[in-house]
Amino acid sequence: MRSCIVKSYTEYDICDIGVPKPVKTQELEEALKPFACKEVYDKYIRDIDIRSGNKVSPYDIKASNSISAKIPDSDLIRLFPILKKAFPGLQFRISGQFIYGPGDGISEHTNANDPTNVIYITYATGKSKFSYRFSPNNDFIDTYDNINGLTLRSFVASSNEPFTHHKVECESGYRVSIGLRYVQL
Amino acid sequence: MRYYIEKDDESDVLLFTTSEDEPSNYILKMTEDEVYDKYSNHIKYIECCYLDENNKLQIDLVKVLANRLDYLEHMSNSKIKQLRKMLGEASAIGRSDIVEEIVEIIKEIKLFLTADFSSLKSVDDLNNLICPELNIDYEVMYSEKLYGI
Repeated sequence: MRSCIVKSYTEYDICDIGVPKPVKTQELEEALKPFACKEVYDKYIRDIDIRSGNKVSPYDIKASNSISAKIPDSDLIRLFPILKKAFPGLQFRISGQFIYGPGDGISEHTNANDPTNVIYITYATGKSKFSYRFSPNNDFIDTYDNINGLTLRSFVASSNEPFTHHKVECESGYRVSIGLRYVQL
Repeated sequence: MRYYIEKDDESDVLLFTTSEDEPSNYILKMTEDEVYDKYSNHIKYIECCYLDENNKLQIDLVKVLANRLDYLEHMSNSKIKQLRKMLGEASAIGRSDIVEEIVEIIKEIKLFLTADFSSLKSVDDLNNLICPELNIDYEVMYSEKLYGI
């Protein structure tokens, strides 16, 4: 008898461009999971960038406030073969290599200076979310992370309005998040 | 200051120019907003542009792809040169694990350039065509790994 475990993941298609479908999901999950813990988070340099305090402009191209740890390139590079196997139809570069700890996050921004399709692959162990809106006049739409599993989000970083205004908040646990700016072949 | 696309009288080549005076041979006058939005790709790839039968400015995607591949090949060669230098150093101090890692990265960069990109049908996609290995500063990364500096 053959038994088969189907690993699930959560996906959010934020701009209706479709979420690239991963293959080898389990391998991807197993590769990201070890980063989502206190030991690894504490090992890396914590990147604290608070430039605006509470005065955040929704039109910030780059976030003016962010707290996270950055996965160094020497460790990130080991993920490349796994990411390529998981998304064989994509050509990509890395645009995010973050681990958020409890209370960490990144304030609202648009990435309007780097227009392209984006997919974020996230593994979280606690309560954390990615929120977005297409106009500062609207409320944020919250998308919560799968706990102890993968979450995929795709969106367009547009250089024109409507921008995809987005932010991340990690309330508890650890959240590893790898951003790919991609083109689909 | 005004922005223009001109046609060079002698060579027929299209040029992007800024000028206070209106050039005699301009084919398109642009506002500042158009320079940064509607025509930003045309200006970036002006050498890949042509005028169609209606005298409208168009971009030749095949030329843009060739242009982009030239750039990526140049970038790849520069990264491979950097990696080969680190490969020699890793080998000299007996770090076979790093030698193996660098060989794999060089193979991946070379493989990237052999892929078929003909399915890409927009300038924006071509602008974003890259592979992750080309965005790493290997001198910094391997100096740290090999010498802890």
